[in-house]
Amino acid sequence: MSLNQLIQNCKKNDAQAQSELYQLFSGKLFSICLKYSRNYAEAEDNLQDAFVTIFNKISQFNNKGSFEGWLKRITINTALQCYRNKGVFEIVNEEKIEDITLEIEDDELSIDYLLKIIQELPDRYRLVFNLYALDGYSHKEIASMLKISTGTSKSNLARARQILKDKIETYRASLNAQTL
Amino acid sequence: MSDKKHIDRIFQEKLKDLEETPNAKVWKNIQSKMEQPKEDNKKVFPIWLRILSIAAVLLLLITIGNLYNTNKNNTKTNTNVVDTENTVNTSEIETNTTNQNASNTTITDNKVVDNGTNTTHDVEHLNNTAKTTEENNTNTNTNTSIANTTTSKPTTTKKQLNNANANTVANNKTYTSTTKNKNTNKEAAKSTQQPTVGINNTDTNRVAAHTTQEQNQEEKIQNNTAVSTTVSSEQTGNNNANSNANAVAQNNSSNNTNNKTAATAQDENKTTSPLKNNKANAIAANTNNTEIENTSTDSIPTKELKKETLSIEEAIAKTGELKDEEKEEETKKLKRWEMYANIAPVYYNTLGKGSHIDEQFVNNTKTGEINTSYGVNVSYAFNERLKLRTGFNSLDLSYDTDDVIIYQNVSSNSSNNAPLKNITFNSEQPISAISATNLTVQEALGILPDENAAISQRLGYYEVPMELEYTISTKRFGVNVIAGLSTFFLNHNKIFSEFEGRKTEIGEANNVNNFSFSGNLGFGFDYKFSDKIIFNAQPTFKYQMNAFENTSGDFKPYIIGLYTGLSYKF
Repeated sequence: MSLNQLIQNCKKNDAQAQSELYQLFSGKLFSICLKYSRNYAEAEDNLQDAFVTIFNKISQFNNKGSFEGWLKRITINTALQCYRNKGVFEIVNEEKIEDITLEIEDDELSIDYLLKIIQELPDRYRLVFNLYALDGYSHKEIASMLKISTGTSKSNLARARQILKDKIETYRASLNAQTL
Repeated sequence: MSDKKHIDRIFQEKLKDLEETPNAKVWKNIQSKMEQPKEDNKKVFPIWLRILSIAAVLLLLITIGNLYNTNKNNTKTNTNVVDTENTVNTSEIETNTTNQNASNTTITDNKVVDNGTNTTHDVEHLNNTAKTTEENNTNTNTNTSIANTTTSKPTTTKKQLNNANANTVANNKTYTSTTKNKNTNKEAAKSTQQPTVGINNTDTNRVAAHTTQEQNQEEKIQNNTAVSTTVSSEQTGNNNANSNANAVAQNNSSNNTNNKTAATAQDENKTTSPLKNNKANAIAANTNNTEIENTSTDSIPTKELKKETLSIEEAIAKTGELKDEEKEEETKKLKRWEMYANIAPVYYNTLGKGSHIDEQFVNNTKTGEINTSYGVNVSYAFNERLKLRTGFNSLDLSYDTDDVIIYQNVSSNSSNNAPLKNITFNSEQPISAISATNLTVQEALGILPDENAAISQRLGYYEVPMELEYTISTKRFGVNVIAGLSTFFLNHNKIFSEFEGRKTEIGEANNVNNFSFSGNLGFGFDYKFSDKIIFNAQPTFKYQMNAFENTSGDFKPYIIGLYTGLSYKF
C-alpha cells in the first residue's frame, strides 16, 4: 500500500490504516518528542497527543510538501503547546551572552547521554536549542513560534550550548578520573 | 579524539538517526482516544426522534401545568372544610395565647376550647339543617357560647378586643383597670345580644352594615383607648357589635359558600398585607366574618399569625387534594385515550445454542448486551379494563459472539478459514475468523489475548407494537397484563470486530430480515399520580420470530425490556 493510499484511508478514519501509519512514523516522531520533552513519560504523552491531532487533522493535509514534514511540524507544535500552556515563556530573560561558537572534541558520546543532557536543559533552552540546532528553524521562526523576541531566542540558544558544553566536559572529566 | 567540532554538529549527527519505538501502551491510548468521538457519533438520535422527545416533554409540562391550575381552582371552592379547620386551629391558638397571657386561667382555657369546638359543631349543624327555626336556635347557642368566650377571657386580664386595640397602642397595662368593668358590661350585653342575633340571622344585608359599623366603632375605640375612663362605655357597644359580627359569621359561613371563597381570598390578602397594621387586621378579620379568627388575629403576636395563615394554606391545599382525588375517580371512566412516552433498558440474547453468523461459532459463548429502547405509544380503552395500544419505538440491540479473532488474510490460500457465511465484509481484502472453540487449548492460549476478542453485532430497529392491555387492578397502584405482536423494521445493521477493547467495523450481516415480528408478553405496573398522569413500569419479554434467515444451530433471539415512562390520559 502506497503512502498516499494509506493517507487516503486514514482520512476515512480507517482503524487499520491508522495503525499502519503509526507503525511507520511513531519511531521518528517519538525521537522528536524525546528531544523536546523533559523525560520519557512526557515524551510519550506528547506522542500520544500528536498522533491524535494527526488523525483528526489528516483530512487537512493536501499533499503540499512532504507528509513527514507535516507530521514533524504537528509533533513539534504539540510539544511546544504543552509548554505554552504551562506559561514557560513568560519569563523574559534578555541577558546578553556572546554567541561564541563552542567547539568540543568529538568522541564516542552515547546518544542516550546526549538525549539525557538535552532533556535536563531548562525548558526554554531545550526548545530553542532543538528548534535551531537540530530541526533547522531560524531565530525569526523560533521567535514567532515561542512568542519571544529573536534576541531572547539567540541568548537562549547560547545559554543552552554553554550548559551542554559544560555538562559534556564535566562528564568527560569524570570518565577520565574513573579510568585513571 | 583530536578533531574538534561545533557542539550543534555533534548533536545533529548523533541524534539524526535517533528512532525509538514507543511503548505499546501509547498506541492503545491513541486508539481509545480516537474511538470515543466515533462512538458518540453513533449515539446521536435521528432528528425526528429529537423532535418527538421534545414534543413529549412539552406535553408533560403542559399536563403538569394544567393539573396545577385545576388544583388551584378547587381550593377556592373547597373552603367548607377549611373554615372548620380554621376554627379548630384558631381555638387552639387561643388557648395558647391565654396561656401566655395568664397563669391562673386553666378553667377559662377549657372554656375557650369548648366554645371553639361548639361553634364548629354548630356550623356543621347549620349546614345540615335548612329550617330557619333551628338556625335561630343554634345561632343563639353559638352566640351565647361566644359571649362566654368574651366574658371568660377578661378574667385573664385581657379582652380579645382590647388586645386588638392594645396591639396598636402597645400598652396593655392601661386596660387592666378597666377589664373588670368590661366584665360587667359584657354580662349586661349578653342579654341584649341574643335578640339582635335573631335579627341578624334573618337578614344578611344588615349584617354587612353591622360589620361596617363595627369597623367604625373599633376605629373609634382605638382612638379612644388612650383615655381609660371612656373605654368602658364604648366597649359595651363594641361588644355588641362584635357579637353581632359573630352571628353574622356563622350565618355566612354556614349558608354561603360564596362568602367563604371571598374569605379565603381575604385570607390570602392577610398574608400579604402588613400585619403590624391592626386597623387593617380588624377590617380583614371582620370581613372574614368568623369571631374566632377576629380574636386570634388580634390577640396573637404577629409571628404566630404567620404560622396560622400558613396552616390555613396547608389546610386548603390538603382539602383541595382530597377533593381532586374524589373527582378523579368520578371522571376516570371518561378518558379513553392515553399517550405514553417510554424508555427502556433492553437485554438481547438467545434461547438456543446457535449462531446467526456462522456454523463454526455455534459452540462459542455469546453475551447479550444491554441497550436502550425509547419511543411513544398511544392506547385506546375499550372499557375500564381492556386497552388496545400501538406506537413507535426505536430499539438498539447488540450481541457478542465471544472468543473470535478476526484478522486480515495476507495470503489468500488459507482455505480452512473460510469467510463467514452470513457477513458481507466492507474490506476488499480477505478477512478470516478463528473461533477459539475450534482450536486446541495450546493454540488458543498462543493466539487469544487476555482481553475480550469477539464479533459484536449491532442491530437497530424501529418497532411498531400492537398490544392488548388488560387491567387486573384499577387502584392507584395498577397491575396489567400485556400481550401482543411487534413489527420490526431494520434500521441499521453492523458487525464489529472487538479485540482488546477496541472495535473495528468489519461489515454487515446479510441474513437479517428487513421485516420481522415478535410475540410480546409483559406485566405492567403503574402508579397514578392523578387522573391524567400515570407512571408505568412494564417488564416485557419479546420473542423474535423471523429476525434472521439461515442461522446455524438453534438460534432463538429474544428481547427483555423494562419499559418505563409516563403516560397522559385524555
